[in-house]
Amino acid sequence: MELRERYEEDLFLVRGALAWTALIAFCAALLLLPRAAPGYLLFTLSLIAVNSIIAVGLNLLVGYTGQISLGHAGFVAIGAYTAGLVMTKVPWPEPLMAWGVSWLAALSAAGLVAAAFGFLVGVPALRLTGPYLTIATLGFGIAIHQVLTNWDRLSGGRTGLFLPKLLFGPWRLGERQLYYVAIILAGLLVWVAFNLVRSHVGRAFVAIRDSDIAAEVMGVNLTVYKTLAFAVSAAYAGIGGAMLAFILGYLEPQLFTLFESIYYFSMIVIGGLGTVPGSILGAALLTVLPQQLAALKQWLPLVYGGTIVLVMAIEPRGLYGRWMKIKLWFKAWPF
Amino acid sequence: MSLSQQIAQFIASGFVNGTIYALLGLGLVAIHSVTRVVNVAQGEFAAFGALLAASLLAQGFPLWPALAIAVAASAILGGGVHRVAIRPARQASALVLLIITIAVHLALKGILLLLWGTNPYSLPPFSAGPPVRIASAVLIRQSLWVIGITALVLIILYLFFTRTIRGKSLRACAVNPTAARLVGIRVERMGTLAWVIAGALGGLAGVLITPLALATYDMGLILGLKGFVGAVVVGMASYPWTVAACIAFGIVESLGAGLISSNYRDAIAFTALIVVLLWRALSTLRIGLIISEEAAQE
Repeated sequence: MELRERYEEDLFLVRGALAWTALIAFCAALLLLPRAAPGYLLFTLSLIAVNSIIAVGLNLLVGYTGQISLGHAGFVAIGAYTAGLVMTKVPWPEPLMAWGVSWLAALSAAGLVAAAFGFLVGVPALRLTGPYLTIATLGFGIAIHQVLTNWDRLSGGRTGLFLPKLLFGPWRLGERQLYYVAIILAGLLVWVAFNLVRSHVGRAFVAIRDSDIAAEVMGVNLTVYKTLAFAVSAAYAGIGGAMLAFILGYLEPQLFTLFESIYYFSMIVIGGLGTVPGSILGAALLTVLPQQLAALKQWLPLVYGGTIVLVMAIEPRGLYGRWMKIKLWFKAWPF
Repeated sequence: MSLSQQIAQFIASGFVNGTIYALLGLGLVAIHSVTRVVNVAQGEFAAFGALLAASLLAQGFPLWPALAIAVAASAILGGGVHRVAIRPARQASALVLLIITIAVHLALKGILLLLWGTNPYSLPPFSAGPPVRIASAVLIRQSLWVIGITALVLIILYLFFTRTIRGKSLRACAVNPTAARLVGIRVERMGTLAWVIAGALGGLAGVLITPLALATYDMGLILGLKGFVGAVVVGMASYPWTVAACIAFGIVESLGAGLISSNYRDAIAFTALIVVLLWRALSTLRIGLIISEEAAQE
């Protein structure tokens, strides 16, 4: 173990030449990939980026703050439909549309509206814990799905909502450009999450998770930080939802059912609760796996369920926890 | 139909649905009071019982043996889930146990999907005959079976919990597991028994509702949730109040669906739930408690 002597050394997010090389290589690979990769691979990677955004946000809430949300697809839906409505219903003047203001505004609006809903859901969370909160968030997710299904004039109902192509100056954003937008957005939000969890805010979240009474005694304002956790998490979900809407170009309520909420939940449990890299690992795995197992679609619920039970029994810290153990073992080798 | 007749009809059908939710809610309370687990997979027992009964009937079994076998199999499934998934992790935190039951829900749903596919199945009503008029509401006969059998089960449960050693042991485990162990009760075994009871109650709910509504592999979650609503509203602690709350919830849901919009059935139901939860939380707050597992354990 290397020794950290100064506070500044402790602040570095990426430590050591090897880690820097790996990070730069990874980013370079992501940026250069579109030159070589076929379309469906880019599409998959864009989806991984979107799911990573959502999973990181959910992990901030569940893994760090200890507040279970089983209604996260509701926040994703709110973000996606906000983006869709801002794109289609707002009469954008031609130059603004041409220079991408419309979809950038849609993206921000999605985050803000979802955050507002997150705040609203967070208010009951001040008074509800454990199963009561779980069931309240679950009810929220179901309510959002039903409203979207039945309120035709808002959401297009079952027929769906089509989004126009995104424009940026002279370019029409196709698969490749959307991939870049998704990757950069995901990178940015992951970086924010990394810094958030190392700041006093993240420490307050963890303190609430470990014991909310103790946290309050230590001076953590539960009202502020619990609603903040919900709002931040919902904002991530909303931005992820907006990005999903851009990538798919089409929205329907069936994209945001209870199963999706559990699907996002599975990502962070399998990846590792309370870790940012774990969320990304879980998102990547659970995006690729269903695609590869498309022929075995019927097996998916069983596979997800069985995997979570196994993860909980064998490695409660998830894939990332296992990776850390392996790393530690090699570092300490031959002891 | 006049409005008052309609309302009577909604209340009657809500009452019937409420009794179904009550069976599931009772199972949840049994599990939670003994093993401190919130069982998200409770509704899957109902789906399993219903689908198994339908298949047995299709195989040529007579109705009543098929129902009995289905309920017994659900009971075994309940005990099996406890042994395989819950017991190995019994030292884990409430959060982990909750995650495990969510996973069990997914896994069971997956198994049901593999075995029965996505087709809906149905059961015939337990007895044929024209609908019955009660006051100004019309009830089909199956509804009376639902209410009658549930009432019978409640009486049996009451006798079991108050008159038998085993039932009293279960209650002892719920009140204080350590003290129960000290007087020689096998708390682990009682946990399995609670899950067996919950499985049987779930399976029973499934076979009772299937003649009224079709059974599908994914019917479980919503059913279980609605039982959960009733149980949670009264704090996951009391059996009779759970039944009352589930029936009240069924009636509210039915009135909301009937008078406002049936498209928003679940949305209305769950919004009502959030309101009740908050109201309960605020009223307990006044006497210095937050609704939490600690409060439920008292």
